[in-house]
Amino acid sequence: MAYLQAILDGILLGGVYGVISTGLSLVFGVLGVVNFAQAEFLMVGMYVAYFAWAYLGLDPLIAAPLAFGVVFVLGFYSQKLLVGRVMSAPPAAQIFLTVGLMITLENGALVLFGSDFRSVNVPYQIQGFRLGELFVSAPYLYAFLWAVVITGALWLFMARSWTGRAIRAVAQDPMAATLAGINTARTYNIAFGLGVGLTAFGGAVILPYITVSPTAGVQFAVLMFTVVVLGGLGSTTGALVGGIVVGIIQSLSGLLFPIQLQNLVLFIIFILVLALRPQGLLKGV
Amino acid sequence: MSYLNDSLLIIRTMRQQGLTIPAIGGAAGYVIPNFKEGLGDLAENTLSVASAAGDAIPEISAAYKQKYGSFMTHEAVAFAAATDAMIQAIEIAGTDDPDAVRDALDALEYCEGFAKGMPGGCINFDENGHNAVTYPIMVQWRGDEPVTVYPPSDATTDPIWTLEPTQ
Repeated sequence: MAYLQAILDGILLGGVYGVISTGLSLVFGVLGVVNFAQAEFLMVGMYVAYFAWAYLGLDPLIAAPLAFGVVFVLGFYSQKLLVGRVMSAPPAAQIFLTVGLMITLENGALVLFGSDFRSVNVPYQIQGFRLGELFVSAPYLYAFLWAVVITGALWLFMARSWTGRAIRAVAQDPMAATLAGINTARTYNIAFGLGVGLTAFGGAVILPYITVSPTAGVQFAVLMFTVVVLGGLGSTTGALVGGIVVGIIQSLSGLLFPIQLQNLVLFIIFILVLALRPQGLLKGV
Repeated sequence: MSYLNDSLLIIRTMRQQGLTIPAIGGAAGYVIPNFKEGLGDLAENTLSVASAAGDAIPEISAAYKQKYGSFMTHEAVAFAAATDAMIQAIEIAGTDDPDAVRDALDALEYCEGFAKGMPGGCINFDENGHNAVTYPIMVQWRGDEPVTVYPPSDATTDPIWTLEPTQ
């Protein structure tokens, strides 16, 4: 029963890892840029949801679309004004730019909001459900359900909408997409906005069980890269599966080994995947 | 686990599981204003070990709260006491010569000012440089701040060991 409980906890946790990492995977898949500042956009999303709770009384789950919207705009213009300039530059320039963006966002938050850890206070933080002998924590369950909804919405958007299809076309062949009448530059803006917006959405839904501070993103940075490498860099469905796999590995290793080794097990699997199956567990976009 | 994130998670998870026994924290995240901000009424009656508490020096504590907007944390009390001890040592030594100030600190027996905020009420360093007079205390959240509940010599109120069920 303890294993079943750990797997359930891992799935609930991993669904959110999936959404957070889908954004990173989307940005790489479409723009070919590894965005080292991705986790900082998560932190920005958390702050948007926190202030929406503190000043407007909005639950973080309700404020999550707002976090998405604000960070989408921020990402749209970050791509237009900054990232777009290095897309055809050597990878080193892209790394310098996104790492610079990471440092700027983190320290900008420090200047604006101070170093305090902030937590929202909502009623379901102390609620849980019993399914026989299994226990389901309400904030984790709600965050997971939101993660599933937004992933479904993303899938629909990418599959059905013109803009979604344009993003996929640009990812496959920018030149052919341009010839077909797609505004490639604008599509890059939208894809980057969408990618960081999704991560920010994930940041908002986890706010009921985690505190926000300027460095809140750091703990997710390595985790995000692990998820997308497991799922296959550039694959959005792979990121969701990778997220759930990472959640289950973390949860099970927390049960089987001393808690300090929780991430060690994860990274051993991460290295094994890189060595034996570098294309990830799943392929394709 | 005493980091703020962990302390909030522990208390919330206890309540999720229907546990109504009071939690005893290990200072850090359990005894800072953010703990109450994060938990609201759930913070009430949470116990924690602490190195000091503002209720030992109520007048200074009230002035601190008026100036900074929150209660005097145990770090604030301890650092103020340490600074006060340094000022006394420099005054006793009558010079800023490091060796003379060090010797004055070593011989210091000070039971006034901020030193009264430390449990035991005095500062007197032993051969290892520790304040030999002081000891840890137990505090419990009451309203917006933790107050001393143990030992009886320092307690400003009695501990509460039962919590109202939250669900």
